[in-house]
Parts: sequence; C-alpha cells; structure tokens
Amino acid sequence: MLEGECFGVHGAFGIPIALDRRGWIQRPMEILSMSPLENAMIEDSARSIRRFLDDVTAKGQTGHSLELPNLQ
Amino acid sequence: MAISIAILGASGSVGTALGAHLLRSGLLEPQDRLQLVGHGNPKSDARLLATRIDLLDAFDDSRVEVEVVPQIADLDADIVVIASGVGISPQCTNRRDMGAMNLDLFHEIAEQCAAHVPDSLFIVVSNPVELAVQILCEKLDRKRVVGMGAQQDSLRFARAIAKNLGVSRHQVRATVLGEHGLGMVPIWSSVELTTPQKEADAALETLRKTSEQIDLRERVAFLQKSVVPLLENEKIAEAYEVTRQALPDARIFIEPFITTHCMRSTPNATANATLHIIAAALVDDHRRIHDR
Repeated sequence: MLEGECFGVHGAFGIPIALDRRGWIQRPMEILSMSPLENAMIEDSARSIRRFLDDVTAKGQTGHSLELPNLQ
Repeated sequence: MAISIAILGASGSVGTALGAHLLRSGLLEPQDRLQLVGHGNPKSDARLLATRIDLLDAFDDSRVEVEVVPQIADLDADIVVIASGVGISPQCTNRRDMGAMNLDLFHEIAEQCAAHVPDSLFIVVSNPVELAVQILCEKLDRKRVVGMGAQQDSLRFARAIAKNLGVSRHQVRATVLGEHGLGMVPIWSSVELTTPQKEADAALETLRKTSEQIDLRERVAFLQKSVVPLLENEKIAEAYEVTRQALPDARIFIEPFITTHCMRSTPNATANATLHIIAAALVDDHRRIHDR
C-alpha cells in the first residue's frame, strides 16, 4: 500500500520491494530504467486499480461483464 | 529461532498447496510451526484436521509442527498468509464479483488480525489482491502487509521469456508492476539474463523489439478474442496452443486465464510465488528453499 513513495501512487500497487519479518521497504527504482511507454502504462495501471477499488467498495454490487478473471 | 507461519484459508486449493510447498521446500526446520487456520466452525475444523494428517503423512520427516488453529483469535504467528475467500466459479466469473463477495470477509479478517496478531507480517494471496491489501491496511501497519500478485506475475513473465529463449527461468530476471489483472505492466526494460549468453541475449533483444511493434493491450485483446470461443467450446489444448504462439508479455495475461477456466485457480503457481515471498522475508534467519 503506497503513500506516494513510488510513481506518486497512493494505494495498492505492485512495485519491487525488499522484505524481512518486520515488513517491506521499496527497492530503489533506479534498478529499472523504464521507457516512456512503460511509464504511461504504469499510470494507466494505477488508474485501473483506483477505478476498480472505487467501484467495488462504493457499490458492493456484482457485475457480469466478460473480463479476465483474477490472474491467480 | 523457531518460526511460526499461519495460513488462513488452509483448506482451500491454494492454502492446501501452500502447506505442501512450504513443508517440502526445506524452508521450515524442526520446532517451527505451520498453523492451519479455520473459520471457527466444525466443518472447517474437520477439513483442516484431515488436511493436517495428510500433510504429516507426506512431510513429517521434517518434524515441523503442523497445527489446526480454529480461529484467528487463537493465532500466534510471525507470518500470516491470507488465502481465504471466494475464487473463480460459475457464480463468480470476474474480479468485480469476487471483490463484492469477499468484501465483508476481508473486513472481518482485518479486524481480527488487528486485534490478535497486529505485529505479524501479512502476505495477501486472496483476490482481488489490491482490495484485500487496501482493507487490511486500514487496520494494520501498511508496511507489514504485502500482496503477492506482482511476484507471481513476474515469475510468469520470467518463465515465458525463458521458454522462448530456451533457458531456465532462474536465468531470467523480469519484473511486472502494477495491477494483478488486466492492468499489469510487464517491464521489458527490466529483463536481463543472469548469465549473459550471446545467442540468448540476441534472442531477447529480438523479442523486446518485436513486442514494441504492436501495443501490448491490442495484442492481449486480440489473443483473448481468439481464446474465449475456444474455451466456450472446451477446446483447451487449442486455447493453450494459440496462446503459446503469442509473445511472452501477452501470454502471461491469457495463460492463467485458461488455467483458471479449467481449475478455478492456479494453486501450485500461487503457492510457489508465495513461498518465494516467505523465503525473502526469512533471509535474515538464514532460511533457504531447497538449500538455495
């Protein structure tokens, strides 16, 4: 759960982390030198998560759209 | 120092697979504890008691304590893996339905964990993972809550690339960021071979350049359009074959879709990714998977 420390994202978002029993810290992002296209996709992904969470938590309703299921 | 790992949802397909992966990995040592956590009702307890004996029959050589814990209130764990909740089924065919159906459960788990084991490390396997993480972080220290979606997607991306290059997955470093779903972002610029090899490096560069020719979202949409009719007609082998011909970054969207269509989850892949996260958390304890 980010609070703006990576990509300026506030919310749940997959980033590279280092981990121990006390919790996680962000791994330095310079390990990834991302292309402009990848950066744009990151912004889209953050918006997609936000929309999804707003939708589910605000409405709590079910939908029946044909979409990919969770990718477990 | 003995370690205790709890699995919420231990009687489900992913939870059961994770128990087996943990016990056979060599990560846990004698006197460590694996706690299988129930829902506090007799049916759940019975299933977990049977799961416990099954796991002990298979893996008791390691002398890890495998316990059934009836409810979160009875927990005492360093690491809590949350694998509870509704998965894909005929009644729940997409992430939105799943989120709505799991919402109350995630709130209940967050409340219980905050009350009884607030200082544990929480690894979220349940889906939609972003929803579960958000709800848990409303009650728990956010730095102690980790979703495992990106780890699993990154392992898939590495495997897909390795397959194309004809090398092992452990020779490929690859990262997927963002959403654990249609919004995930495979980061081609992060992909590298751990042991540079001339031919494989050249093949990787070709893959990278080919992937740039058509937008990923378009390729995924096209692939999905090809695969869905095959799944509707239960032509599973054909669906996998069509997917196999796609580039690795598109393949990692659709292959799990097919698998989930057939199995309702991807228990071993999920358990393996979770095992890697647990191992990362225990590196300072000098714990290793299969002594690596």
